[in-house]
Amino acid sequence: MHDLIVIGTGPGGYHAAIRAAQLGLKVAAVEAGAVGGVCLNVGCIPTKALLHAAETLEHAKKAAEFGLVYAEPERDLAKMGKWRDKIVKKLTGGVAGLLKGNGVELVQGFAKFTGPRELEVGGKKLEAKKIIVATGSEPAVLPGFEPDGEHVLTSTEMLEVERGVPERLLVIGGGVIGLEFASIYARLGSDVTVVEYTEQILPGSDPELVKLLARSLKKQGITIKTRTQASKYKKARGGLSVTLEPAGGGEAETVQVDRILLAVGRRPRSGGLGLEAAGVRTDERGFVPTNEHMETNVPGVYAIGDVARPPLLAHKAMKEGLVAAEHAAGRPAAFDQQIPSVVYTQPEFASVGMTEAEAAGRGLQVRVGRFPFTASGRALTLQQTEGVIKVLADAENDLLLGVHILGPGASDLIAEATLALEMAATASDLALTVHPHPTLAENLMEAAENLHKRAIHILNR
Amino acid sequence: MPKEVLLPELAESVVEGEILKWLVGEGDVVAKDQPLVEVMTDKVTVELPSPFAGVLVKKLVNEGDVVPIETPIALIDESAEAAAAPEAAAAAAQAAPPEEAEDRGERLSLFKPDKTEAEVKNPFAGGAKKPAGPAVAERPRAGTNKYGRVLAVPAARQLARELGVDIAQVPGSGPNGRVRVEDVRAFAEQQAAPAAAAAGRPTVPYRTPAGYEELEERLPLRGLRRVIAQQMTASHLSAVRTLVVDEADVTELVALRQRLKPRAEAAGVKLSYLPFFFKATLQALRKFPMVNSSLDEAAGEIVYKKYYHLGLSVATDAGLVVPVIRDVDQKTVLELAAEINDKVARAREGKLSPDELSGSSFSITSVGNLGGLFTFPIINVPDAAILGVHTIQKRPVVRDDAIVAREMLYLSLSFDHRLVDGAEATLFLREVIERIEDPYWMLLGAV
Repeated sequence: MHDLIVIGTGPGGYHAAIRAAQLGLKVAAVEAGAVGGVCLNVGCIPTKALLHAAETLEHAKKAAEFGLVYAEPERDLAKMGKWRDKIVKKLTGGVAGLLKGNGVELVQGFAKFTGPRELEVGGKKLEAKKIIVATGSEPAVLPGFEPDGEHVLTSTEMLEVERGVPERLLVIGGGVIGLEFASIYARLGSDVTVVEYTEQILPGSDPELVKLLARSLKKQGITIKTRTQASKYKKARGGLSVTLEPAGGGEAETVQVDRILLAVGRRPRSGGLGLEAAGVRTDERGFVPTNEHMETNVPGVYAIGDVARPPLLAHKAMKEGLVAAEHAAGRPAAFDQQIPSVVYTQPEFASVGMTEAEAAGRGLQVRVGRFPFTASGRALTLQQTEGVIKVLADAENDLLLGVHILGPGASDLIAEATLALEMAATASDLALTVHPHPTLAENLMEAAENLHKRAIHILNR
Repeated sequence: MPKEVLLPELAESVVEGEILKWLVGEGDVVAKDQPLVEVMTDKVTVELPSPFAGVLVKKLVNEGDVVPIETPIALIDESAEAAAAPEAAAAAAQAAPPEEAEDRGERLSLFKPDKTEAEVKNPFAGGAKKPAGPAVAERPRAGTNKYGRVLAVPAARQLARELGVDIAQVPGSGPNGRVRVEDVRAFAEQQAAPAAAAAGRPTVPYRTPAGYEELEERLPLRGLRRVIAQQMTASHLSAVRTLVVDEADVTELVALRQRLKPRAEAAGVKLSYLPFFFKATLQALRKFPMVNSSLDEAAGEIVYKKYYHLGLSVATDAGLVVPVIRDVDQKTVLELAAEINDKVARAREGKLSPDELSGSSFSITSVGNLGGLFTFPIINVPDAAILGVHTIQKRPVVRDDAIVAREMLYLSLSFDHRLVDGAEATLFLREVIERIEDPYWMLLGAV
């Protein structure tokens, strides 16, 4: 009998297992696939590896501006794939080592509930006082575009650059995954078109920055079609013929591509787990609802990460894993944190807290401070001057409400903003803090200063 | 999006209620105004009607919880598909963290909706130390604040969890009312303080005699019994209770009542002795305003009342309750008789509203029928005194040097010696006695 069994060893699962072990519980982790889950194996990590590789190509081209002229880079996709795998292997090996080092028993197989306290894995019965469901998510499917491993691929398959770089790529879905792959393949040489059903790419994100991002992506050769849906495709001479229709109805158009990436979101992996046998409820979308301790409707059964609720973000899963493990160990723990989000496009897009629309929805008077990276010394030296930082504060009391960053280093800059929000800081707190120069981070300070019309490096109009 | 049902303001100056019993289950379809839950406040139990129709997707509080008013107690989904698929709705409601349930329910103001909100909303607002300056003047209740989130540093949130403190209740001393670690600590200490102060009074340890474990049954201290326990402890700890006992010859009153009974009956009213005691007490109170006063300890002031609201202790199956007969000085004996009968009957059925159970300025307890020579009643604080009236029975007394049988009655006045002196109390009691001994004289001055 274990104190705790964690189903899944993705970011949420391994965090939960290790923390529970640290707290003295006897823990087992069940993994049906590879240790590390989607994030490490076919998600965040390999994607970033390829993004870096593709970006380096871009940097090489731009180096000519300062007098470094490279020969036309040679692309060895097989080697790129190997490099990607090496990183993945190192990290997953590391996670396996950490699980082992913390005394977590790793059980390979697909877990199925046979009761609220028992599982069956590969015909073997496992019992535990508490169970954490951390089974993650998988790509959602769009009827008419079922992945076939050849013409229509999921993000998992698109990671295999060894398949070759298609001349023309259609990305269905303008969300995080769609845009990151669009960026990778556009840099590797594909002619990329992104179709998005809603009004803007990255639905829900700050529209002003999204507009700038869209402009930047277009400059990079990516065609973006919003309010558009892909309705069908057929094989045609020399490729695929895809029918695109305006979302609101109207005249359809046809585009010729060589490959289609299906990136219309992800769905929770809650099916086939036998959750019914444990009495655990799922909602109509398949998520497993929990309370703030990540406990499901069945006491002692927890759900964390993608399978529990959106947003589907690894760092959210990690935190939820820690909360569930601590609560399962009898510690007071609850999830009440701000969740930043990052899109690794070029420039990067990151945000935390409220958007202007959300703040207005709460009846708040918002003041906005902006600072463009064109006015940043550090950005100039990095040849990355696209983007803006937006700082939102309550006009009444200067309380920081949200920070939205489009620009170089946004993924790292957002961490400072997140801490500021957690500390209930004001825009003045950000503005009054000395930031090193020259850095990208000082632009956050300047954006906060601009909110009070006091930024130094721009005219505060 | 499901709507929140908030615990309404149940009566004037009531700041919390105890969830006694849920009358519907999660997933049940509820009609508008269908009773949702039994809530007890200040000695009365109220069935809360549902403010809207829909599906009860989630109960946010458990039976036995004592929750402040304005607290969300349930989520109800009004949408039609929710009605069709309560299971899914329940799940969806769980998925949405409560603070995201933006669409807060309308207030179910059952009683007096005109009460100043701030006064009732935050029971800590008054006591909390506040730094000078306008910034922290009125901290919004968290969860309902405009950011949908308590302003607090992460370490304070964690500490609050560890100390079992609801961070939403903690007054923040940081900028914009941000809750700091020290605030949580101070609040936790302040919470513990009443217990510690009471613990000049040591808690009485309880030990089961060895071998008798099976012969005990344990039930949680809940509901009316808990309220009674709290009120009695408060009374015992705050008032300096002192007793004076006297006797009255009520032979005339017995005769008078006997004579008036048929007339009262013809008017549809059963006539007891109580309305006469009420009238006598009223007249005595007018002569001794101190006995109709209260001590406002926080303000350091004595409150003299120019109104006469008399509480009456009533034993019910559920326990002791004290309905209040208001404005006794404006009612005739017959009117008082009718009102007393009505309130006693409804008290026994548990059907009094919270307002009918609060606001007394003096109380009377009648323990006549059950036996006992006399009692030492406990004061219904913040009243200054309570009068105990007992069995009327024939006893031998000396009249004109002869032993005769007269209808005799013991009266005990329990009074708070901080407000009322012994001589005053004794004289007050004499005033009452003179009137019930000579009811014709009393009625001469009656309204």
